[in-house]
Amino acid sequence: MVSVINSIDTSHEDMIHDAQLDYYGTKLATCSSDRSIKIFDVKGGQQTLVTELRGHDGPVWQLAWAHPMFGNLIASCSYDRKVIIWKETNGSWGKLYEYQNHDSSVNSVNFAPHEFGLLLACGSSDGSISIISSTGDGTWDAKKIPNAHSIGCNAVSWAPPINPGDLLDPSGRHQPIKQLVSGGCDNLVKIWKEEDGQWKEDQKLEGHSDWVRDVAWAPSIGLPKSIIASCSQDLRVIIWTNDGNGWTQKVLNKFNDVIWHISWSITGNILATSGGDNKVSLWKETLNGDWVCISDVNKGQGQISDGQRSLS
Amino acid sequence: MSNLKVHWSPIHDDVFCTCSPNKILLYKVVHSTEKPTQKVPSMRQMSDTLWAVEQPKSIEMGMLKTVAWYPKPEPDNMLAIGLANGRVILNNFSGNSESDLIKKEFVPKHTRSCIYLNWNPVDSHLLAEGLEKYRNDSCINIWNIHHKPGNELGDRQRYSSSHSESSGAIHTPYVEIGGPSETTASFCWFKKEPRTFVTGMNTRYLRIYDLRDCTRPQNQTQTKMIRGASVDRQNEHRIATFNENHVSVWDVRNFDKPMLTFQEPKAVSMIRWCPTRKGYLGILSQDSLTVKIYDILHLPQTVGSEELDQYYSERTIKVLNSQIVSSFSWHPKQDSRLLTVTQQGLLRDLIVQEHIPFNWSVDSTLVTAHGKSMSITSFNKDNSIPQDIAVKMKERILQGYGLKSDIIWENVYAIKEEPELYGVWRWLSYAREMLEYNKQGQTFQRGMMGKHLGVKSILGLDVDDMATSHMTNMYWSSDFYRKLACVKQYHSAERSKALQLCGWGGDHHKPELLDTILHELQMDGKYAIAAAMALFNLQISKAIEILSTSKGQENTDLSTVAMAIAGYTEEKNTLWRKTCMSLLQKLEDPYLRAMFAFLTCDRENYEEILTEQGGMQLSDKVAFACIYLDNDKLKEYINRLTRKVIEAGNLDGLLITGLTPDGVSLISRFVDMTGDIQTAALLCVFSLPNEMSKDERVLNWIESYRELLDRWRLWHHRSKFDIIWRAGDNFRVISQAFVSCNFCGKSIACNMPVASRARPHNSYSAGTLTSTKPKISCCPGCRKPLPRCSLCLTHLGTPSGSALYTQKDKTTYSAKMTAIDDWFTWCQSCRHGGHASHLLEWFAEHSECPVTGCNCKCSTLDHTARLAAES
Repeated sequence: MVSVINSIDTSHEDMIHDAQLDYYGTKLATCSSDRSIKIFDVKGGQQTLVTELRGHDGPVWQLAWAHPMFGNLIASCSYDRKVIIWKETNGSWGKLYEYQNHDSSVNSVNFAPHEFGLLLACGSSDGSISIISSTGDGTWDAKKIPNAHSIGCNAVSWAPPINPGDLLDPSGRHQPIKQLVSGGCDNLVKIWKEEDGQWKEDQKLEGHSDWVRDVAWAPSIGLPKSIIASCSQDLRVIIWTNDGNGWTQKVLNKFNDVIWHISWSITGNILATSGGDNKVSLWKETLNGDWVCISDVNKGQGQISDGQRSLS
Repeated sequence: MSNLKVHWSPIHDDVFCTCSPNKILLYKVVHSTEKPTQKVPSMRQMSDTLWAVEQPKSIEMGMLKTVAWYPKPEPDNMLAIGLANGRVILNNFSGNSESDLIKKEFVPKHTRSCIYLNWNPVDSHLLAEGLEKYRNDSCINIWNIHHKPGNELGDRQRYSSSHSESSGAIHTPYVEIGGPSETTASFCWFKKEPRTFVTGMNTRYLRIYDLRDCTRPQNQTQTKMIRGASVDRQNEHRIATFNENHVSVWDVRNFDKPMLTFQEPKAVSMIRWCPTRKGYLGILSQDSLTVKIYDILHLPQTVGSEELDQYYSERTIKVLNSQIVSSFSWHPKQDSRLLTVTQQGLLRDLIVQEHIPFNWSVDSTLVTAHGKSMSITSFNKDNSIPQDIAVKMKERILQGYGLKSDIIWENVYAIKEEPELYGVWRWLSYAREMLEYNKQGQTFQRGMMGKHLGVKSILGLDVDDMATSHMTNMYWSSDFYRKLACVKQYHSAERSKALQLCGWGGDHHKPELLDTILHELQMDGKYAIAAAMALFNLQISKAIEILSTSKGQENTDLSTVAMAIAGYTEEKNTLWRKTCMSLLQKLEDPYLRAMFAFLTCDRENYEEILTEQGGMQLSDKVAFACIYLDNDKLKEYINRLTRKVIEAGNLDGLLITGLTPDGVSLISRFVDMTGDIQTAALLCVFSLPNEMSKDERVLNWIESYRELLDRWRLWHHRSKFDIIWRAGDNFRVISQAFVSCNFCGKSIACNMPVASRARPHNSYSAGTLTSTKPKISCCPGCRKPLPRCSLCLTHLGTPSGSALYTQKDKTTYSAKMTAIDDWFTWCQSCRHGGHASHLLEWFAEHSECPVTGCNCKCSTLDHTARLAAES
């Protein structure tokens, strides 16, 4: 059974584009077309507004929390071409850094695993991906992958720090490799790898026939394989798997409507998808490798009653 | 019914009408989750739970061209109906004229077809009517519905004489727009400036007029996109128009060229802005099965000096399979609600769904946003959804799973509902027991000392060095059965150890051990297992006794089996044997089956018992094999079993492999199947010391599990896990912090080894007993007093840790400890401090440092304290 624990009145004046819980699940950040970011404390099922961050001149598309070892840090990206990193110091939030080196809307932002330090990637409609890192002394360094996706990059997601191949190699400690996956308007999913300080295209995964809307690299805890999920306007979700012998694809499902967003549960055992059919669906892999939908969370269809729409 | 139109009522949330060229039907929406039991002709399904009920009153008239719903509540449900002869009639469905507006007629000077009707949204007495071209008449009439027929001026009456039969009709428009021979295609009022409107004219102009000066347009642009002019109510600067298969969006402030133009594959038939959602433009093309929606998030816009691009996405809304959509209507108040009607007259009511951003929380709840609101969704325990392993793992640890390091078996109390995990914990406890036993003096060969062993290592199979075992012909233990042929058993010290690990007691020279085990099994109600174990130890009478004394639901079954066993005979082809064979098929308990299989099988062929799917537990099969298989067969069997358990990720198989490379592969497969990183990490840690403790996979499981515990903020649990881990790994964390003396710079820790401390005065103090006791309030190195507590002003110092070496009796736990109250602590920022308890009291009421003149806000700097206060 699915039950809505509670509904939150965000008092955003326009559409919410992203909602992110921090590492511990105690803080919730939302961003909206109203150009604001709101941060809530989540405590015992109750949410209290902590602060509202304003600084963007357009809709704020996506948010990402940094690992708590860096303090309370959140990055936001917006239609105004900016990426802003916000930090809480002594209970008050402020801008830490503003990155303005994109030529078009910045659609996606994501912090790297904390093992790599304070490092984030962002993908933009100008087709490029930026990797921004903190040098530790308050300055920031940015590397750019130009033309990562022609027409635009819609999503970026980091690989977990442990390379699955290392798990099978008994020779001992390995230098973790920085890897990320991106999806874009060229219908491609691409994997990028840092080699000698340079970002290079490692893989080009072809499988979608329309814009790739979202990509998510699975946490794959304890497993000797890499798993990536991608969703597209071609109504499909594809699971890409690499167990050391190259990438293979499997279509999770063909939906009736566009799938906009996908997300792995914290242990990577469940994939949640949301799409135009107004459903959040949960998918799980069976022992024989098929994916089954274990739940649909319907958000409104057919629940128009007495002039009201219920939330569940 | 091909030209069906649909309109939501602007007033009532649950009322709409459909219009065909000769009939207008009124519907009311009702909510019902169940289908009506019998088919009601007036009920039509709109969605899974919504039904449209046709109201008994309808309006029927010929020549019906267009309909516009009066935007005010009174008179109720009044429509303006435009006819093919240009007349406009006001009517409602009740038909009785409680208002003098009802049945009022507005007649243009010259008869021609009405193209559109449009009510002014604010000055709702104004109704715009578009008419087809007439040689010397205007094409747009704006009627004032409150005009009375008598108000008309004399010269107009001349013209109206030809229409004398409609005596109550109004013939004079409030305003006429458009000169002779001009045409109009579309019309829309602005709401913010209700005296203005936009209209597409003369096939090439889009014009904005102001009623206060109708002689010329206030603004105009030359374009072919003149049809379907529609003002975005969410942003009145925006106008959408279309022509053929193009749709354009205009900004009236920059009217020269459209901001956006979309090209559609087919000719567009209607466009409508969603009145509730910014930027939604609904587009219907001819012969289309879908409604297309452009979500225009941004028109090109200038921020500072930079021009930002447009940003929109398109959606295709499927309505009904293979039915051509005839018309749609946005609900005037409810978010993105769209009512459609197909050419066949089928209705579909749906909501154009927003992108749902969502995210997992660490507690496996989902946070989802829809529009402007959010919700947190959890997944309850329910049979329909298998519980996610993450949720399960958290539940388990809160029950104490993996925290019981003293009596390992107690860990299963936290996983009562998961008996599939019992086996591996049983192995762990037996292996631990054996380890403890070995530690107490008895050495064990081949360097196996100090490991949690698997059967394979015990038997020496992993190094292919199997100790020879003695074959013994064993007799059945009871006198009555002495006459039976003896049974071959194999014995060796290693086999006994293996049996011990399987929980079979092991030593066949100590029958009392077996009795204890049998007794325990019986106490647990596991009669069949006990009986089987007795039988396999050749104690047939004991087995019969156990079965016949069983208490429980199945005891009749067991008693029957007891009787059957009692009649055991070795002769083949007897009736007993045949009966047993048939009984064997019916028995559900694998142990009972195994007993019969044992009795009836050809000697030394135990395949059936050892390989049966769903047969005995793995540990019992292994134990059986350790008794009855010779070395070669045993080796073959164990190796076969190893491959099987690794492939299946069967944790019970750790009994065989132990935590060897095979064991880690097995756990790896188990993690792959279940995602149960917790059990994997626990097994690796509880079986320490083991040879795999530095394996990448093992470390990865342990680290992943620790990170999970951290994310759940179960820091105490993680610390306990660390303790178990590090204790097993003989790992010591080096001291992390020292307090050193201000004067001599040496550590003031009292528990430092005496030798390492310089004692300047020990030459003469060494002799006296009292001086060896360190004075706690001064530096043990230089004897200078320690700083004072900023609150009580006494010298700091604590005997904490000193008891360790002044008191030799370390057995009492509390003797080591002194109250943390006396411990000294200080602010990391201003470096002022005092006794912990005093500072706690102080900062309960103050945030500033207690030292005079120090303005440090010590307590607000304390991140940990703030976290604690928050949670």
